[in-house]
Amino acid sequence: MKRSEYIGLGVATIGHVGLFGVLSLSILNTSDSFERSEPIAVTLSDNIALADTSPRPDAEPATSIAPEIGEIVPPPEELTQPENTPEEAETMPQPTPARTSAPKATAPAKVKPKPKPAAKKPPVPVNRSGRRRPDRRRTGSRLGSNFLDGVSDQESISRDQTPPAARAGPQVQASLQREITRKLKPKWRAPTGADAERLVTTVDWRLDKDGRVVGKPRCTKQNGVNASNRPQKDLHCERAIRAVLDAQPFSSLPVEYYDAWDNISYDFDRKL
Amino acid sequence: MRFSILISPIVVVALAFGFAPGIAQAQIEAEAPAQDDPLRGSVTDDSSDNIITISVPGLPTPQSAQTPAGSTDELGARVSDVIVADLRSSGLFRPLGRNAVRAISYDEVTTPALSYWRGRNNEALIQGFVRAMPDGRITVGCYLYDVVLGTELARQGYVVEPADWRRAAHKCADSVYSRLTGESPFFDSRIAYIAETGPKDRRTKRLAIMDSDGANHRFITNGQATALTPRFSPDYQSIVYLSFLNGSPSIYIYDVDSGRQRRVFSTSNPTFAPRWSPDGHFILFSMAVSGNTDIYRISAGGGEPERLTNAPGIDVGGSYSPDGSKIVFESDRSGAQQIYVMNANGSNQKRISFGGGRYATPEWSPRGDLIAFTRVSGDFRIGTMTPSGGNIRLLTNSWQDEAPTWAPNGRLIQFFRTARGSGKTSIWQVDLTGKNARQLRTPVDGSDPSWGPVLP
Repeated sequence: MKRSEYIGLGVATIGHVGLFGVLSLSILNTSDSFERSEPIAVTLSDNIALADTSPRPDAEPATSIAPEIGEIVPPPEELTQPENTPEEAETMPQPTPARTSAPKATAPAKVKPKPKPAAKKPPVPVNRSGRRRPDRRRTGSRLGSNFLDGVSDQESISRDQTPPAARAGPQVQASLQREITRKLKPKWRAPTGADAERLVTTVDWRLDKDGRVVGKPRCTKQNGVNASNRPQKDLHCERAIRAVLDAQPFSSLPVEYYDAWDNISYDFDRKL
Repeated sequence: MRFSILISPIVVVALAFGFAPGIAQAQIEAEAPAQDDPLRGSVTDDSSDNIITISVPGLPTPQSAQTPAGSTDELGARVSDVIVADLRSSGLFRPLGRNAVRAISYDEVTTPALSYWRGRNNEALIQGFVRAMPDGRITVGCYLYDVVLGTELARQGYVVEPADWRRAAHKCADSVYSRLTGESPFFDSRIAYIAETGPKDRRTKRLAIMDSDGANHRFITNGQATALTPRFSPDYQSIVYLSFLNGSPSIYIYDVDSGRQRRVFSTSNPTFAPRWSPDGHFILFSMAVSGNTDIYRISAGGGEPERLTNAPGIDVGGSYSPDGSKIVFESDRSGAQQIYVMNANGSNQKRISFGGGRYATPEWSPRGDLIAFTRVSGDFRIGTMTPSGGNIRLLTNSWQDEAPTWAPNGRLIQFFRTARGSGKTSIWQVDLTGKNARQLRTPVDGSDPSWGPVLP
C-alpha cells in the first residue's frame, strides 16, 4: 500500500469518527429537550393541510374598482408642483360655458389666481379637460362617469381582500363533517341481529347547492359481513340510504364551500 | 484512497437527509387529493333500542259480507290484531293497533294519506283489506309503506279459506317483518311441545301443538304415557317423540292427520333424543346398548339403524346442519358433557366446546351459522356458538333454562324455563341478540318446545 493511500485511509477514518461524534451529540441534545406534553383532544380529519388553503376562505370579494390608466400620467413631480387653488379656479369655468348664469357666479373666482402659478400652466395642457382633476391623482378610468350611478353610499360589506381558497381547509372540513353527522345521526337506525354491529356500509351521494340529494345515493362498500349478519347486509345499505334521504336537505351547509360538500362519502355503523 | 474519499460524501449526504426526500415525496403523492375527492366521514347509531314504530289500522272491506268465520268487517279487525301481536312479539317493532290509530277507508288502502301518518311519529304503515270472493274464500291484501319516504315497500295478497284467516294475517306480518328486518319470515309456523300438569313428583306430560303465537292449541296424546322431546317433521305431517308407553323409553312417530302412531324401531333397548334430518328422510336417535349409548340413524320409513358413534360413554342429542352434511351432538367421552361435530356418516368427530362448565343439547340453527346449546355451570343457561366452537354468547340468565330450539328463520331461540322450588315449567323465547326474552302463553305448563319450519 502506498503512503498516500495510508494517509487517505486515515483521513477517511478520522472523518467518519468525527461525523459519528457530531451526529451523536446532536441526537443527545435533542433528546434532552424532549418534554412530556399534556393530552389534548384531537379531532381526526382525513385531509391534512398539504393542500394550499386560505386562512379566510370565506372572505367576501372586495368591491370592484375601475381599472386605472397609468401611461398618460405625467411625472409625479409635475403633478405635485401646481398649487391647488389656481387649478381649481382655472377648471371651474370650463364645464359651465353652456350655462349663462354660471360665469357671473364664478367671476369672482378669477381674481384669486396668482400670476406665478398661472405661468406654469402651459406645461400641463391635459388639465384642460373638465374630467381631469389635477388636485387628485392624475389618472384616467376606462369606465364612464356614470359608473357609480345607482350605487348606494353605504359602507362596503367587504371585510377582507384575501381571495377565496380553492379548497376548504381541514378545520372547515371537520366542521362540515360534524354538521353532516349531526343531520344524519337522528335518522340513521341500523338493523339489529347477531353481529349486525360489525357491518359498516359506505354510502356515496351528491348534493346540489340547496343541500338536496342529486340522483340516488349508492352503497359503494360494505365491511364486516359474516355468516351471521349476512341477512342484514342489504337492509343495512337500504337503511343508510334512507337516512340520507330522510336527513336532506342539508341546507345548513354553507354554500361558499359547496366544492367541499358537493360530493359526500359516509360510513354508517352501529355501536351497541 | 480515492475509494475512501468518494464514499464519505455519500454517507454524509445520506445521514444528513435521512432519506427524507424520498419520504416527503411519497407523502405528497399519497395526500394529494383528486379534484372531486368526496367529503368523508362516519355516523354511528348508538341508540339503545332500534324498535320500529309502525301503524296498523284495521283492514277495511269494500263490501261487508258474511263468511263462516264471521263478517269481513270483523275479520279485517281481527287480522290487524294478529298482525299487531305478531310484530310486537318479535321485539323489533312498536305496533300501533286499531285502538291507537284512526280507521281507514277502502279507497285509502292503495293511496295512503302519507302526510297524515308522517305527522304521527311513526316510520311505517301497514294497510290492507279483506274481501269476500264469489267462491266462498276471502282475499286478504297487505300493503307496507315507508311513511317517511312515502314509498311502497311491499304488497301481498292471500286467498284463503275463511277459517284460515289467521294464516293470512301471519303471512302479512311475515312479509312486513321480513321486509323491515332483513330476516326470513317465521310467524306462519307451528310449535310442538310437552304440556305438563299435576304435582311436582307426578307430572302428567302430554304432547301438544299450537301456532307460533299460541293459537289453535291442541293436545295430541292423552297423558297415560309420559311424552318427551317432540320434533315436527319438515313437512308438518308427523311428529317424532319419546314415549314411556310401557315404562321404558322408545321413539314413536305420530301422524298428525290420521292420529295414528308407530314405533320407529322395535327393540328392548332404551331409545331417546330423536331428531329429523333436514329432508325428513332420516331420524337420528340415541340407543343404549349394554351401558354404552351411541347415536344411530334410521330411515323414517323404518329398517335397520346405522350406528354413527362408537366411543365409550354417552353420545346423545344429534342435530343435523341445515345442509345435512354434518351432525352436532353431545358426548361425555372426555369426562363431562361437551359438544362435538362429525360428518353425517359419523367420520371426523371433533370436540368444539372448550369453555368452562358442561355443554348439552346442541341444536344447529336453520341458517347454519350458529349452534345453540345449554350451558351447565351451577345454573342452566342458553347460549350460542359458531360451528367451530368460537364466539360463545350466553343469551339468558336464569336458574334453569334448557332445551333450545330455533325459530325457522334462525333469529329467535325458544327454550323452557323451570322455576326454582315449584318446578313449574314455561316456554320462553329470546332474540339472538339476547334481548326481548318473553314467555309464550300456554294453557298449562310447557316444556321441550320444538319449532317447525315456515308453512308453505
